[in-house]
Amino acid sequence: MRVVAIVSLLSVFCGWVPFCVHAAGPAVPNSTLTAHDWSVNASPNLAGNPPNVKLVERFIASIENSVGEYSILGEEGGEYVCSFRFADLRRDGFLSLVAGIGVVDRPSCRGVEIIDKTVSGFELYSSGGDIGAGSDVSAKIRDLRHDGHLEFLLSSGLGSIPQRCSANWTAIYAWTGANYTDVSDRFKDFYRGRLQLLDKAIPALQPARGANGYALSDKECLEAEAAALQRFLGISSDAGIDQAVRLATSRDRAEREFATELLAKIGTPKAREYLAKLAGDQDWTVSTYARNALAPNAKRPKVADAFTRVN
Amino acid sequence: MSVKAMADFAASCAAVPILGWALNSSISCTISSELKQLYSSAATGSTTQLLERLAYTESSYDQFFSKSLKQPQTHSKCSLGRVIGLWPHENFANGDVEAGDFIGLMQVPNSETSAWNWITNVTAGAKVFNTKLKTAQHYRSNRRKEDTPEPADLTASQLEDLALGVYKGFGRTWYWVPHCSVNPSLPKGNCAGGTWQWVKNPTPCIGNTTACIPDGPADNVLVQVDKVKNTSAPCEM
Repeated sequence: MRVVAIVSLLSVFCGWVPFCVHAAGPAVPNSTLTAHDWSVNASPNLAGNPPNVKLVERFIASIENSVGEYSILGEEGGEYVCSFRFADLRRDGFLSLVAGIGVVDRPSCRGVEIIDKTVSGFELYSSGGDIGAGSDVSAKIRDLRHDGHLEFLLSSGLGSIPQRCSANWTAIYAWTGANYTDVSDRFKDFYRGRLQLLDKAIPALQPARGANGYALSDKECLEAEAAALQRFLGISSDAGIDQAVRLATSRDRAEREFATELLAKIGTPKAREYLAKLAGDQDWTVSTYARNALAPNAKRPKVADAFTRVN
Repeated sequence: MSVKAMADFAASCAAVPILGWALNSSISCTISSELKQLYSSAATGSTTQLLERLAYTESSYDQFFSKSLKQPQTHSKCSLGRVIGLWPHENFANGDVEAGDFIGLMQVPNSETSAWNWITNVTAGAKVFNTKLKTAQHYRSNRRKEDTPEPADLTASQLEDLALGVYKGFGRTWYWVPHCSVNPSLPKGNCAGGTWQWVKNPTPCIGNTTACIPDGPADNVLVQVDKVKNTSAPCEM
């Protein structure tokens, strides 16, 4: 039987939204998942009895194609589903499909897509973050307050020192009635906990990777994350500036590259002063990053609003 | 390598670690030459130094990297301990991506041969890039078929941009996207009264958002592809 479901999506609304909603496409092609009962009360429901990953891949590809994208999911050398989970993100009686999307044979799994079943069809939200942001979405769906409301933790990059380490920021998203929006500032305890963990871990770093997964080579990145947490929590509005200035004057171009990313996020007059110096750097990447950050029309990233707001 | 000698009830171990080589200007030139050869059959108008630049942004040409690693014991009964030296260049752990999933000059999926044999590594990298080029070609063909009036064809260099974006992990967050001159929000189809033109993706961040501009260049396909194209690899010929 050919089942045609109308995707309830009427416009593609991307831009300054971390989860970009794709609305109103044509009919979704035949898919077992399209016809499936997405109700929380189905017995068994999709969360308890998930389909295989290939079926999920085909379903997501059909939704993507229906909203005007050219899906490369399942294509040789294209994309694949790194992980997926069905969960009641909206608490509306229907399950949502959360999937991490990666590129075959590459460090990726940056993409995260949420497909919601609603009374009128399906809605697709896409986002993404740092490498690995979508590699285990089950672990990123949490009930932080143990109140039955699920949150999604999205890791985005604060910056990285190529071939050494990557500094991550975790933003918290939740369904807020019209979209999945950044609600990080409602979860200060989560960030305080992370800061406490880093305050203990950083002085104890060793050349070999410890049980917590960190090694001495991660030190600059963990310090940058700790500084970002301090700024976010209002402990110090210019936390991290000394580190960023030190890196900005490094002879190592990879450290200067990292410095531009940190200075752009700190955003204070002193940070901009050093960005102006880096805009004349002999390295293309460093000077380009710095010039972009100083551009008059430079906008703050929505995905890290919770982080930049306190700057 | 470990050697275990046994005499009667006594046994002793001698560990002889086999490690990698350090990069120097002569080796850099050999690597560049090999990479250029691997891309020698690329279409006219392609960037002849593309694989060299790609490898340099992936690894700084370091197939091996100095670090302290615990020796895997595998079948040996000897406790070999830690060895500080030139080990195969693993990706660093990032989020849920574990260190060592990708390896070497082109950061290809880890295997014993691509970890220890740099020629195997760059050959594998060139093959992976080729698959990305095919994905880019499919995308180009598909869009030209679906859009009316048909957009102009992409140049070899523009196709490379698309493929580089996929190689860098951006997937369908394409470098070039068709843009309807009279209706910018039209995703595809009939651009009635106007033309489709290829433009740099106005939503170049992963997930097709603009959210990362300018503070998260790592998440921006335009920045990452331009970085490859503007890199100068050692001993470019």
